[in-house]
Amino acid sequence: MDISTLPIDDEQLIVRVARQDAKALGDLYDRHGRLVFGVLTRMLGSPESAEEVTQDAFHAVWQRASTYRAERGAVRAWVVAIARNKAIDWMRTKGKRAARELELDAGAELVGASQPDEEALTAIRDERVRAVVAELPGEQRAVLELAYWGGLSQSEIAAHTGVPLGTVKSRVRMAMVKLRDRLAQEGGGQ
Amino acid sequence: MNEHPVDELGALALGALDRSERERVDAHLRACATCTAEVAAYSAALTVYAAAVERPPAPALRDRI
Repeated sequence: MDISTLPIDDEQLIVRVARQDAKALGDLYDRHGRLVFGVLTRMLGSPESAEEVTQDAFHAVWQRASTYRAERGAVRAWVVAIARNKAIDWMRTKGKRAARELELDAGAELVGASQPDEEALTAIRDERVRAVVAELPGEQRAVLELAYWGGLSQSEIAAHTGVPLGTVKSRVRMAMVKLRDRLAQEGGGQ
Repeated sequence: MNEHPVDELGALALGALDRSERERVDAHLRACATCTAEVAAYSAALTVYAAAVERPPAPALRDRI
């Protein structure tokens, strides 16, 4: 039996990337590139910018693979966190941030962005996410979306919205607890 | 051991802490498996939250990775 044909998990891939295995980086991209590109397109507002930053993100994955710590979360979450940081850097340097930061009603876009050819299970998951997000009080949904898609910190949200920092923090905390309680079990895989 | 920064773990996973806050929470996480597992759970939830926007990049992008 050829051991090289056995499926390997993300953590094994990251170890290989840390050893500068270019094929392993390509495999990681095949697994998570759609998510990274989708998140970056949503954050940056254009596929062209998202492509540029996707490259930056996987370059950073290549450089930083040895710093991945499994106890902090799945590889997929780590890769997306790197990509989001790259997008935030990009928005700061290109000055594109203001155009998108107050776009509060991302919930509708979240639904609309689903691909028509996605598998049924994905559609069910997305429907669950939509329902969970829709259940959040509007002010909690707003801070979640400003932070996740707008890349704003809590203090930046407070400064831009005029809402007291303590209130922003409690809204973020409550939104995150609800997401965790309702969605975390589904996010451990892949 | 510092008090567990439970109120800030979600914001950390979200990337919404300011630098000084993040460094303080990160320092705690290095010594606290309980809070680290909490951050992992928040991160997993955010991955599911984000997955609804997945979309395929242009095939040519793969050659530039």
